Amino acid sequence: MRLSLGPNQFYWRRTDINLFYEQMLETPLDVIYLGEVVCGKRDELRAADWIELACALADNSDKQVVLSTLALLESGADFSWVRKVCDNGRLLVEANDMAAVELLAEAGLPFTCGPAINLYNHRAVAQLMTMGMQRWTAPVEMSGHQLGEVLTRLTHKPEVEVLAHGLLPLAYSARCFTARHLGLSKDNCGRRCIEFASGIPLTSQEDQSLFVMNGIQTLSGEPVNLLRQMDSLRTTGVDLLRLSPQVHDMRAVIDAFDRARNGDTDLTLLLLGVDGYWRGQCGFDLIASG
Amino acid sequence: MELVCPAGSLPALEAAIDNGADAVYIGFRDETNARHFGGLNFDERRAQQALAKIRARGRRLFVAINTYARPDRFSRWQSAVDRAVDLGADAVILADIGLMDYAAERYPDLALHLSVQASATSAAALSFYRRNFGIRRAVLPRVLSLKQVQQLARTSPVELEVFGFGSLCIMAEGRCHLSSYVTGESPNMNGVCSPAKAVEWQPTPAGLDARLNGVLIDRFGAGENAGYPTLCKGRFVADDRTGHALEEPVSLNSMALLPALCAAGIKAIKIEGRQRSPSYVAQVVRTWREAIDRLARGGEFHIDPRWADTLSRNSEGKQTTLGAYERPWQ
Amino acid sequence: MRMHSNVLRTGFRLGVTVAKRLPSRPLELAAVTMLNRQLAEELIAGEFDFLDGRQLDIAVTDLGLQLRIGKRAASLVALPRAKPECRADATIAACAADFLAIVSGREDPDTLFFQRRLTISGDTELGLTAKNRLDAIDRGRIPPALQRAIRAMAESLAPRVA
Repeated sequence: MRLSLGPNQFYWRRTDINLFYEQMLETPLDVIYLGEVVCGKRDELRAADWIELACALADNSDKQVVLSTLALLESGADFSWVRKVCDNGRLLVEANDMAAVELLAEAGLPFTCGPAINLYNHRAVAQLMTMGMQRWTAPVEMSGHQLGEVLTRLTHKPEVEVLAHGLLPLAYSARCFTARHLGLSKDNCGRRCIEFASGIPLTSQEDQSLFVMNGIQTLSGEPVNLLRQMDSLRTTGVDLLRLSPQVHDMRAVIDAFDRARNGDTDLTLLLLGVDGYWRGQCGFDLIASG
Repeated sequence: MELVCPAGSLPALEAAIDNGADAVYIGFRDETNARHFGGLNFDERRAQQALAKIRARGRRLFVAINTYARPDRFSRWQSAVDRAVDLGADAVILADIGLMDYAAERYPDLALHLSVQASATSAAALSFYRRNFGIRRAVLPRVLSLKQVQQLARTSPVELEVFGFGSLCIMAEGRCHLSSYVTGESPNMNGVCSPAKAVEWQPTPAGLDARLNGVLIDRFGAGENAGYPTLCKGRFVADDRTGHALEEPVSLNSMALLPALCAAGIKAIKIEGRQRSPSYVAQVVRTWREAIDRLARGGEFHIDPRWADTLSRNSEGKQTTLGAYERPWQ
Repeated sequence: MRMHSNVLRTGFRLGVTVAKRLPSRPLELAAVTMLNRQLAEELIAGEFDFLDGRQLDIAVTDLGLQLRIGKRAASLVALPRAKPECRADATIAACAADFLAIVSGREDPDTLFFQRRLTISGDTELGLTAKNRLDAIDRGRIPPALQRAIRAMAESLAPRVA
């Protein structure tokens, strides 16, 4: 099984981004996805900067480097951003919206589909494969069982990727929750989500962890952690495990999964997290301890 | 502009027709539609009665098959398309690419409308569905501002339908998993958001607690208006501050934008609410009929206070908002 | 009209007072007989099968009336309450005027619900399914005289500031 680093969901400073990816080159990751996927207003790195960074990473390692596109396009500027990424002329692109699929398919380029694209059954997957989809990351709410049901019905399978660790991207809105939380309008947000490198946690009035606000995106309050599900991931036919960037302990996450894929699973290496979706339960169901 | 109205039952459909709907959209009684709630929707017999009423009054009937088909039960979604065709529906409203592929291949003449659940927000995305499946119309998600709707209307390869009134989804439709994260059931897979079986209202000495699968969504004081515990409208805590961190219980009302939407070339206005009563449908449809007719007569368009009052009375929390159409909301 | 409405209001209040003192069992049986007559078509079509083996309470709060409904074969039945503390699977509660407003189509049940004038407790899905099913009843089949009476009562009892 290969390990991939998903696109970063948060907004970090340019120097921190560069440093982070430089460190990632030294890890056993096989694939690195990068690019802005949440908000077209974030400008520490613009489309051209991401492409430049991605090319530099590709030049300096044997890892596969993939450029990810925005999940929710609202303005013409968002669309131009996506177009620039699709037109990069060198690297594979992960489409996170049908606009990107359209641009890539029309250009006759191969592409991968991220979890924000709604592919829930074999016929939909097969349809996108005829258009050039080579790799498919399943929707985050899809269970292992359902994923298996899709794959058994496909004559030709794409490479299959599953988000195995990190906060789950759950929703995208027109509204910026970070700006709203700070009492700012979206048009004058000052891009202050840069102050929240791990988003803003949201709990119930009984202090139960629920969600994390990250600009226009809502993430799960707890990270998914499929370390305990390695066997079932393998037998289902998953080819790549996606690990989502986090500001702390990224290296520990990568190492835990690297060991697990080599048959040395140590559950104590990471915090428990949730795995309900994979088991066909509520996404926030905590991993049963013991 | 075509006024497209919801019906979860035959009396609601009659109410829509009687009060001036140009088209009515319905769903079958299973998880193939995004309002898969107990006691709602149409079996075969009811659907036929619905069509007879529609035809007798010269209106149009759309069938929403707008959830994502499960691989192991794909035939159920396929059969929903077959049933809509056999019924003689004027269009089906689809979100799933697999199902669109089936419908376009099997029934090349069937009018396909792209559901809001497909969340297409750009001309390129619309063109994807147009090129591959020949969709004729798309319902735009409630995440675009008026300016963005206007821009899209200029370049869209298909006719556009936008939301006029109803429950406000603040997330891009079809791209929200909040419900399945907490309850295991989602709009995409199960046709439900915050399903009733997970809802519990608990009276407390201080008022009323609303829970969803055990999670405290909101706590209402005595006499305070209470909403359905939808996750995006709960009162949560961020940085020690308790409040509606995502959204308040309000309804969307874009009536003030009617002239602008019409001028932009928007072909249809959708009223949300297949889960609501015939009384809601009657009041809301009548109000929008009057507004659209007044606009069509020309002259200055202004909102009759009676209309605003009726719409507000039928709203969640008695409040309405322009939602994402208006930048400050975002 | 004002006069008429006042008479109706007074009549209704009197009815409320009287109803509170009536033995409830005959009222319940009469109500269920009427429901079975009105809903014959839906019952045969299986549209009330969600009540099989379940108990639903309809509580008219200001009258102190509580009708416990179940279903046997293709009929609704008024279930006796062995003990007051024995709870139904779900309870729908509102005052008489609000129930009348719903039945007459004057008010949307969700609106009343948001204002907490209509409450659903216990199994929410059962309660909401019942609400949706009742909404789907063809009011045209209610005898015209009864329809008129319900409408007149509902209108006269509607709050002045709506």
